[in-house]
Amino acid sequence: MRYIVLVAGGSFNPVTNMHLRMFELARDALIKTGQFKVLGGIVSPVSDGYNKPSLLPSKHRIEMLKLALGRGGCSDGIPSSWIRLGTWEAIRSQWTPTRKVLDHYQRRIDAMLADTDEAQLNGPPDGKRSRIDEESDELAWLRSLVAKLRAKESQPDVRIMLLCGGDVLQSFAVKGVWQEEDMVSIVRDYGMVVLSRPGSDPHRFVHTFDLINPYERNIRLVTEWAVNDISSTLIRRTLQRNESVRYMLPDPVIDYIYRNGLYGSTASWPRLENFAD
Amino acid sequence: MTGGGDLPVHNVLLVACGSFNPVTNMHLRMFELARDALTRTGRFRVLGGLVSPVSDAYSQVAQLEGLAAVNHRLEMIRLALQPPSREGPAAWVRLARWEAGLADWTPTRRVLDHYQAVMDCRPVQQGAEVQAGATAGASAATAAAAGAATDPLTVAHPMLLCGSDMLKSFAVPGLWTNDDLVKILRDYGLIVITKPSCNPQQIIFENDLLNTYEQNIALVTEWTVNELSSAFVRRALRRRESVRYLLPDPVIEYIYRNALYQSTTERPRLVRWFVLSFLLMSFR
Repeated sequence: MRYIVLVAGGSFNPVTNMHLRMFELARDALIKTGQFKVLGGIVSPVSDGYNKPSLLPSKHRIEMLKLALGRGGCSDGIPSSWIRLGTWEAIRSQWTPTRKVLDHYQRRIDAMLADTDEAQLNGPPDGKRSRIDEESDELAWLRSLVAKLRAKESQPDVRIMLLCGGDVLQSFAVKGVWQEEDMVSIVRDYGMVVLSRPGSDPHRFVHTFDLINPYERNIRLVTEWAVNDISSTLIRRTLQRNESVRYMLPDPVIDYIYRNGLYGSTASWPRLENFAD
Repeated sequence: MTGGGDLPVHNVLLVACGSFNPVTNMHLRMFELARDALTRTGRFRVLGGLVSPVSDAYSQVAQLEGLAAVNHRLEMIRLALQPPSREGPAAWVRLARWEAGLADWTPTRRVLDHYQAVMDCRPVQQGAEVQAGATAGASAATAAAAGAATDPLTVAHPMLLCGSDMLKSFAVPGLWTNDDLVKILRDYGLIVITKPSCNPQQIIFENDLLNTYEQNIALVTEWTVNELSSAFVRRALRRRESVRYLLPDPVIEYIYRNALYQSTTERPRLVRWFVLSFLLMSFR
């Protein structure tokens, strides 16, 4: 039995129900195969160094993710206890290739399993530590998950797997976007769960793309049947037009956006006149 | 609010009828889209919204199986309609219990008539079970009408909010009485939310009655959450798959707690090979 930690990268500008649903579908799909158990999920937003126009500062994107995952703010919903926010990538000043993010988490997990994990051995530091190495919430959480697992199994097999949409898979074929060795490493050493809409043809892509085709069995394709075209771009556009985005992303995230006037929104929750209770 | 020249501004109360079995983000999204679309035209002022689930009597009429008991469906809708923020304003869409409390199935036209009467402050037929909360819809409608009454040049009426399924059903012979259809189309109006793949203009074109009142039918395309249906949610629950982010968390929690729609939080257990072989061996 292989234990998987799903890692999804992206701008999350802002996080939407589609992103969150992606995790749920991937988890169900992996469990259904009978070969995997899903230990958890990590959302890893890009750093501000990504240089995309209209990318909000990571401070906001991180706060919205925290609200979406129910780890902060006024969320009354069920906290998403199996998905956590990963800030390692976000706090770095430069953009980090996806493969390096996966490497980072896999290395930490391997160290936890081999008892060579620094934080476990050394305890809290007395000297100065660089911001990048600072203990982040998701590592503490991973550590506890791994510890629980080792209480049950002597040599658990814990692997990181990349979670993404069909557009990311298709971007493999676009020159200059990915390093070849990164793509090979991702499909060979980690594996992917790819969420696609019905009608798109990820199977054909995997079939025709020579670089990744040898690792076909590590690429799990899942169809999102409740077509969920809630893209961040659409959310931003709707907010700009002062129209409603309710039920496309969690209420606490919308609340945050309204309160901070993000994405050009000047709206607030609809207050209909003469509609007293 | 100007209506563009001398055109009257319609003050409308959006009313959605259906089984809501269960209520999903798609239903909730419909209200948001409708409100934005109508407000954009400048000819409408949306006073509020009502979700009016059918009574249990509907399952006999429609030969429907698997319709969750009305008290469950009402509670799920109530949970779904909670306002988004504790510090923010009260919700603009409310739960309407009148139809659900009636012993017999009630045609949609009668539901709309009922709320028109409430808005006009005329006496209304009480349902057989008048629960404490049964008048929430009525009070919402009254308040809405009171708001409208401040401007004597305007009209206030309920407007039927629905999806393309209901629009298509208008063309099915025998399903609706001509009288009811005319009343709805002529006096109340329709706002239809459709998926991109649907062609509502064609449905209207091909039906004489719909065509006559085309001006009273507003069409809105739902570009995003368009394949999500109650049937989809029920199927996923049956298969023990996640429905998170398809409907509000409090509703999901309620479904699991009451084991509705054959839901269970247990994942199907795979019988391990060695257990099976042990059992086989023990029978030798």
